Amino acid sequence: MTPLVGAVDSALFGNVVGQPLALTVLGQALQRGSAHAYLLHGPRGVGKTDAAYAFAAGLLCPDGGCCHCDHCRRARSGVHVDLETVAPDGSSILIDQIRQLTLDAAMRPYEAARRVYVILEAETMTEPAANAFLKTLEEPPSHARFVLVSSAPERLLPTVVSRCQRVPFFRTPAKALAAHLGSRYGLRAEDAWALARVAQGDLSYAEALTHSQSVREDRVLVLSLARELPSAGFARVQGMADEVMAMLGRRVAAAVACVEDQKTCEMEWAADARARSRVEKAFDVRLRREKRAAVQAGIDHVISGSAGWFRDLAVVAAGAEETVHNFDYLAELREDGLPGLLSSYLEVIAAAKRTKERFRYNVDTRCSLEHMLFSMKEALL
Amino acid sequence: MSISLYRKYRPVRFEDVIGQDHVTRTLVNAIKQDRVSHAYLFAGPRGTGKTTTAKILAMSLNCEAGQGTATISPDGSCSRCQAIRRGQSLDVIEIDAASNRGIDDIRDIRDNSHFAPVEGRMKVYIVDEVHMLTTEAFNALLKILEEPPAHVIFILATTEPHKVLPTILSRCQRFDFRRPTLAEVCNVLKGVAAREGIEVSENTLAVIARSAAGSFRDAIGTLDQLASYCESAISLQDALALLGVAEQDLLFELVDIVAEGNTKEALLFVERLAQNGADFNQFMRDMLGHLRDLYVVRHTENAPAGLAATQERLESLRSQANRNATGELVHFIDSIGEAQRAVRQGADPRLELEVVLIRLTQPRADQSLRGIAARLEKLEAGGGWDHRPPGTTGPPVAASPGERTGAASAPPGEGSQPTTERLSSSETVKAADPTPLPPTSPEVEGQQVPLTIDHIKRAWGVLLERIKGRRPGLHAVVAEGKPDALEEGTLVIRFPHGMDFQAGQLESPENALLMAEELQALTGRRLHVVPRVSSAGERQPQEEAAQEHVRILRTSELIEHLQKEFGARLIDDGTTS
Repeated sequence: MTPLVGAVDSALFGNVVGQPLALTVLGQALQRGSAHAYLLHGPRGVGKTDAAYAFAAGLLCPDGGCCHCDHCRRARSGVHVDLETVAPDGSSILIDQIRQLTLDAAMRPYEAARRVYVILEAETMTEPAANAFLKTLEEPPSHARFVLVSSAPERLLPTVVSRCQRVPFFRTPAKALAAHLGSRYGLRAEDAWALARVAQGDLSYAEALTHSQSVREDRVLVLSLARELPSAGFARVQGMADEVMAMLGRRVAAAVACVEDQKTCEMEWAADARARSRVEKAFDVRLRREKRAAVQAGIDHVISGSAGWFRDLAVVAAGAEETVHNFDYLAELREDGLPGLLSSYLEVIAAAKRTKERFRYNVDTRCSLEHMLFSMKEALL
Repeated sequence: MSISLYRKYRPVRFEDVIGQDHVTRTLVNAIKQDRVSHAYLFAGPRGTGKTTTAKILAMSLNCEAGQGTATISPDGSCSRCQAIRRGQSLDVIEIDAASNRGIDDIRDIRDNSHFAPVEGRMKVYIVDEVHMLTTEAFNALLKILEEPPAHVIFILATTEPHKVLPTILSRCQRFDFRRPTLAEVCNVLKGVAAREGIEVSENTLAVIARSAAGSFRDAIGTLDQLASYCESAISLQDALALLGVAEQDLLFELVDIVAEGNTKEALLFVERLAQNGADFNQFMRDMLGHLRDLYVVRHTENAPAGLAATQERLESLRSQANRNATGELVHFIDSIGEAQRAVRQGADPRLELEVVLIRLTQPRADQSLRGIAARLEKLEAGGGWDHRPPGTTGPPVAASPGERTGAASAPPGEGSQPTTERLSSSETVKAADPTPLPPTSPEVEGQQVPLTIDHIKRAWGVLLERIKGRRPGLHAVVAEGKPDALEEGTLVIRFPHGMDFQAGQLESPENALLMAEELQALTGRRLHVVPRVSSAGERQPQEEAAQEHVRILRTSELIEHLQKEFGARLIDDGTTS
C-alpha cells in the first residue's frame, strides 16, 4: 500500500490520527475525482466526523483542499453555504429530513462547484427515510456529493451501503495514539503509552482523559468500585450505587451548565418577546435531550468500565497480561485476578451486558444499577 | 467528475444482463410474440439487475429501431433510448416509491396514465422500491394495475416482495432475480476491468466478488474504489486492506488456537488483531464464513465449486476440518453468532470476541447447553474420559487451568496430536472406571454397544413425538403404555390393567410396522413389539413408572458421567416423586 496523502492533504486531515487507509482513500478521491457517495464507518471517537468535514472542504475548495482559503475554513467549521449537515432530529433521521435533502440536492450550488451533504450518524435513519434516500443516493445530480458517517454500518440498510464507497476507519493504533498524545499535549512517553492503552484506540476518550480532570476522576471511581465489589457488604453496595448516582448527577449538571451558557448567548441576540420565547422553547427541548444523553453516557461509562475491569481480571487470570486495558492498574489486577474465578468473571461481564440491554427499555436508573451490582456480586460467589 | 462505474456499465441489452436468463428469456419471448404483460414485479436482492432490466424493457418497447413495434434488441443510442437511460424520457416514468409513498402520489399516476404517450409507443411506469408504499397507496394502485389503458405498462421493482400486498402480487407477472454465482460476478468484473484498463489479478477479483455477496453493484463499486485507490495495478493486499477482509492465515490460526484450548494465545491473538487495526465485526463475519467452509468440507467428499479459490487452500481446509469435530464447529459458529447479535445490540465487539474465545478455550467456563453438547461430542469422538477422583470434581470455578488435564481439555501445545493424548489418558484410568458411557446418538448405538431397556426408556419421549408426527391415533394408544422389557430383539410394552383395546391396536400389522420403523430409526435395531396388559393384581405401571424414573436416573451411567464430568448434581424437581 502506498500512502499517497500529499502535503496538502495531510494538513487538511490534520485532526485525524492514525488512519492511513481512510486518508489515502479520501486523498485519492480528491486528487483523481470523487464518486458521488462515501460512507465513513468505524468505531466511535476516531475522527470520522472531522475527516468528513475535511473531505467536504476538499470537495468545495477550488484547489482541492488548500486548507487556507475561505472555502476550506468555512467548510471545516461546517458553515459553508454549499455544505449541508443532516443529523438525527431527536433520536433518528426522519423521512422529512431526507425529502428536504432530496429537493435541496436538485438545486445548483451557490458558490462552489459542488454541493456536499454530510449525514452524521447515518445509521439512525428510519427505514422509510433510508428507503426514500435510495434513488437520490444512486443517481444524484452531477454536482451533489454525499458523505455518510456511521459508527454502526451494520445497522444501515444494505441497499444504502451498496450505493456508497466505503471508507473504513479503525480504532487508533496504540502507537499512533501515544505519539499523538505525546506531541500534542507534551505527555511523557510512558504516560502517553499507558493512556493509549486505557483508551483502547478511542481518540476522543484519550484526549478527554488528558485534559479533563472530571473524566479521569470518573474512571478512577468506576474502577475502584469494581475492585471493591467482591468484598463489599449489602450496605456498601448501596453506598456504591449512591456514588454512581452522584457521578451521574455531576455529569448532568455539567451538560446543563453548557446548554445554559449557549442559551444566554442566544438570548442576547433575541430581539423581541416572540424571538425570546422561540429560543426558550428550542432550548427546553435541547436541555431535555442533553440531560438524557449525559445520563446515558454516564451509565455506559459505568457499565463498560466495570465490565472492562473484570475483563482485565479474566485476561490476567488466563495469563495474558500483555493484553490488559487498564495498564496503570496492572499491580492491582495481578493481586486480584484468580485463575479459578475465570468463569465467574465471564458471568460478571454477561451481567453487565444484560444491564446495558435493560437500559434500552426506559428502566429506573438507580434500580437497574443496584441490580447490576448485586448480580455481579452474585456471579462472583 | 467521473461517473461511477456501476452506472457507466449498466447493461443496455437483454443479453448483457448476467445470470438472469430465466427473466430475460421470458421477456424476449414475450416481446417476440407480442404478448408483453401490462404489469411486472421484479423481485430480488440488491444489485442483481432489477432496475436495469426494467429500463431495458422500457427501451425495447419504445426504441426507434423497432419502427412502431417492440424490438428485442434496442439500439441504446437513439434519442428515445438515450432519454430513458438518462431518466429524462417523458414516456418512461421512474418513480421512487420510497419517497413518494402516499396515496396522492399514486393518484397522480392514475390520473396521468390515461394520456397517450408523447413520443414513444408505450408509457412505462417503473416503480422502484415498491415495498415502501403505504397500504392506502397500494390499494389505490390496484384498479389501475389490473386494467391499465392499452398503452401503459407497470414495472414494480423491490428487494422485499414479502412486504407487497398479495392483491398486488396476483395482478403482476412476478420475476425473481437470483443472486449471480461467484464466477458470473468475476466475469463481469473482468470485463469492466479490461474495458477500463485496470490491472487486476484473478485472485483479487475473486476476493472482491466474494465480499460483494452476489451484488453486481457492490462488486463493481468496490472495483471502482480500488481503481481510484491504487495507482495502476490493484494488488491483493490493497483489496484485502480496503475491504477489511481477514487474511486466510489468521482464520486458520485462530481455529487451531481454539482447538488447542490455549486461552492465552487466543487473547494475544486478539491483541495482535487490534494492534493491526482490525475491524472485529468484519473479522467475526469472516470467521463465520471460514467455519462454514470447514463444516462443508468436513461433510462433503468433493467440495462444491467456488468454495476454495485454490487447491492448496482446499487441502488446508480439509486438514483443519478433520482436526475438529462437527459439534465443536457448530458450537463455535453458535458462539460467534451470539456475539454478533450482542454487538448489534450495542456491545463492544472486541470484548464479545474475547469472551467467546475464553469460553471456547476454557470448556469448564462454558455452562451453556451447546457447550456441554460440544464437549460430550469431543469425548465421544476421542473415546476418553477425564476421570478425576470425585473429591477434586468441585464446581467448575474451583478448577484452575493449571490442573486441567486429560481429554476434556487438551493441554496447551499438545493439540496437534489430540487423539494420542486422549487415548493414553483413557487407558490409564480404565481400571478405575470400566463402565463405558451409554451412547446417546443413534449412529453409535447401531454399531457395537448392546441395547438395553434403559435406552428405550430414555428414548421413549422422542419415540412418542415421532409417532405423533406420523400417526396421531397410534400415539394416543402407545402413550398409555410403558416400555417394560427388552429380550432378544423383542420389546415388551406394558399397558395398565383393562387397556386391552390399546394393546390390541398395537398388534395390527400396520401399527406394528410403523413402531418397528421408528424404533429402528432411533436405535438402529430391528425390534419386534409385543404389547402386554397388566393383570388386576399387578402394581399399576403409573406408580411404578415414577419409581422407575428415579431408578434410571440413579443407575444410568450417563448421569454418573455427567456428575463426574460437569459436577452435576441430581436434583429432585418434584415431578418424579
